[in-house]
Amino acid sequence: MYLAKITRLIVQNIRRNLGHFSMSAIGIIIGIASLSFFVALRNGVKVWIHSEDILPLNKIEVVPKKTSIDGPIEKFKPINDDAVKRMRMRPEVVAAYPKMKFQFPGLARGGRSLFGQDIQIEFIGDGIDPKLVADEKFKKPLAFKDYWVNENPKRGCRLDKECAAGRACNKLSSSCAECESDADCGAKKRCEPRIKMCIPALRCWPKDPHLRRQDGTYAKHAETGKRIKKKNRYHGDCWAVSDRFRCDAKTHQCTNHCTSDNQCGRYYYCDTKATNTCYHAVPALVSKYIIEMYNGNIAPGRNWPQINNFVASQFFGLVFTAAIGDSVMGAKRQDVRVRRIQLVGISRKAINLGVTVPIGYVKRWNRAFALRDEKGILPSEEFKFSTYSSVVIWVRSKSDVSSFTHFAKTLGFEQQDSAAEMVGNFIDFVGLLLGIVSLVILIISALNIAHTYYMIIADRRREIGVMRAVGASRWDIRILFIGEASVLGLIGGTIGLAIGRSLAYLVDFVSSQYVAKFMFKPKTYFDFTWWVWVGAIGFGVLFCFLGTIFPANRAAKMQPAHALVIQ
Amino acid sequence: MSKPVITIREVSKSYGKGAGRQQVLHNVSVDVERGELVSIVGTSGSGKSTLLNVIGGLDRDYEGDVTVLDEIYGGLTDNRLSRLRNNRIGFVFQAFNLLDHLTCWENVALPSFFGKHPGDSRQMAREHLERVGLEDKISTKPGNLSGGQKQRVAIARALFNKPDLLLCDEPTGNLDTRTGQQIIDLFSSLNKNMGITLIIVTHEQRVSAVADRCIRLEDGKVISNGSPKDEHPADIACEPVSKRRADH
Repeated sequence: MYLAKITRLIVQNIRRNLGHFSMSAIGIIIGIASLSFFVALRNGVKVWIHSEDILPLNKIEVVPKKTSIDGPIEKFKPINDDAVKRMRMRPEVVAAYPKMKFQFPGLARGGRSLFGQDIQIEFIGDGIDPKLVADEKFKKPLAFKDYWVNENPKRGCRLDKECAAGRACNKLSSSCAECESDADCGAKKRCEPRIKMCIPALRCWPKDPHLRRQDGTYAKHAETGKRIKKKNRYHGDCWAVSDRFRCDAKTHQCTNHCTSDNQCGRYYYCDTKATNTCYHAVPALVSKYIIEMYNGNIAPGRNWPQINNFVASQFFGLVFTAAIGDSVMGAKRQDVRVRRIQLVGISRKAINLGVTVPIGYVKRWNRAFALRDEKGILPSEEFKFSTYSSVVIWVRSKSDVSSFTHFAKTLGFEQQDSAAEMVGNFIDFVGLLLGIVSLVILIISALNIAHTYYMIIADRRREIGVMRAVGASRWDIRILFIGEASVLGLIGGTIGLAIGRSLAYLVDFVSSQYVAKFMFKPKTYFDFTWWVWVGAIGFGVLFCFLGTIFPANRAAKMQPAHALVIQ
Repeated sequence: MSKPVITIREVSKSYGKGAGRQQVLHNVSVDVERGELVSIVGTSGSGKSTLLNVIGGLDRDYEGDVTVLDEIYGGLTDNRLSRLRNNRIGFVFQAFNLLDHLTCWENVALPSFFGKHPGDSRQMAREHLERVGLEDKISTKPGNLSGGQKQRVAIARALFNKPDLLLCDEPTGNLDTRTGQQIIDLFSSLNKNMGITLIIVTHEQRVSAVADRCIRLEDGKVISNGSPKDEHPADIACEPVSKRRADH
């Protein structure tokens, strides 16, 4: 009741003194507009910079300690499996995944569908554990996994004596022979002579798009009577055996034997150096950084099309060829291996420049290209496939970074860079400066409000006297004036905030329309979180309150008899 | 004899400091009984308005003891004094002192904005405006009223809290004779019918003529304090000063 009546008085006073109030509110409006604008800008830029795509604050990359020229000579500590295990055991670590860089040259060819001709670039990249991208979804049926391991399930023997009596160890499959002839495999199976294993005996017709039964007749749809098309054109009818089996045109038998990539289908390659078997293409991830670099730096200069998320998704599944061990720089290795690489998606865990493949492939490739003599791989080369180039650590929050960095130092490693923190501090510093400018505007506004209120109170001296005569207490008078100022602050703060928000929209609009595209260009530079809204209006009210508190106090302390004296 | 509503003992009040110090009240002692209509007369600067302010608790900067409506002012906090004014004392001023930005009913109901007054304020304000004959001006702003109407609104405001004590400072000073007489009649009826204790500071003889008692102040001192009818048949004590001077 009291509040409603006081509010009524406050509203009537504001209406009466609208001119004075408008002048006083201008300062508050400008102050709040600039404050909300700059604070939201600081927030927005920080959110943008520390997004997972650019410089996340809770991600650190740990590398072996580099020896400085003038520093003490320290023993080089490589990151091995044991070190990774110890890092993973830390409570602040959410995920730790080692990376292994390619320790061999390579050339990638492809892009005819995109650029009209194949382009050839250095094939660089690294490997990560497929488990670490398990939470990321890829366009079906694409997957990021080490196919090769699955395709060689029975790798168990090196020598014949390791197999059961009478069985030989097959060099191609590295497994003990199951059969010598079809008779050993029973009905509906036959013995694949190369790998000496029993596989389903299926007749197939390689270039026929329609499905056939074992006897060679076409399978037909029960209702329409039309021929049923094969689900997998490339493998003929052999998909039932395995998706990397193909149909041998001469024997009409399914086989995974090959002499060139063309026999294996589009998403498979033929390992012509070793087993002459079809293998699934090596899945590869790229980082968003590459696309942003292409859009920002490469495409504009060459008039090439921009790649947005939709266009990028069209590339998923794209296959290119990598000649591993090949190089245009003269470092070509003797046994170049040609592999098909399939782009499966974009991941923030991928290397910035290059491709990221399952770490198993990298280990095998590094091992294959490690220097060796008659006895085998040189001991000095072993680190190439047994130690990691770095470990990426995701900690729970920004505050865990320092404790983990300290721990990593005790293991003999160091943080690769702390650009995220430096950039963050710089943004905070600039944000603080701009915030101080806004606060100065607000302080001046508060002084202006104080001045206005001293005038208003002198004008309303008799009115204060009347109110005191009819029973208003000192607090009633204070509440009346402070209430007026609070409403002024509320309205000024809201208008200021609206102006600040509108300016932010304008800046974003101008940026989107007239500012050239650059890497990771954000849609908005501002982040008006809830506390910016609340804080802006709160500051508006606070500074009006501060501006009125002294005049209101003077009004409250006036002797009613003096106030009633006609000046 | 019942306990006085107002007891003033040895009250002195001065303005200024040092050589410029001006004594406005000199050891004033006055008692006012419940239901009395007392007029305070005197020349300009004789201290009558100051005395009224002291009685109303509007001025606390004085020496001496003041007890009003059983409350000893010396021991009251500002809040309790405000509450006393809000609940039990009404004020009527020469300059009306209405708030121009409020409507008549809001002016009348002003005490309810600062205290507990059960009931619908607007309805109560309407009743008081009816009593002073201004029921049709309920939503009018004071700027559109005549002097007499303004003073009647001010009286309605003073009556809003059903006061035990009504303090009027030159209530007819800004009014013409006819309107002034209406206001005087209104005060007289309030005193007689409702038993409100009235203290009226005035220059006018016709005001003091309706008073039960007349207190004359001169240079801050009470020079006479009695019934104009019984003790001073010629009403010399309470004659307006201007008239007395003219006679001499």
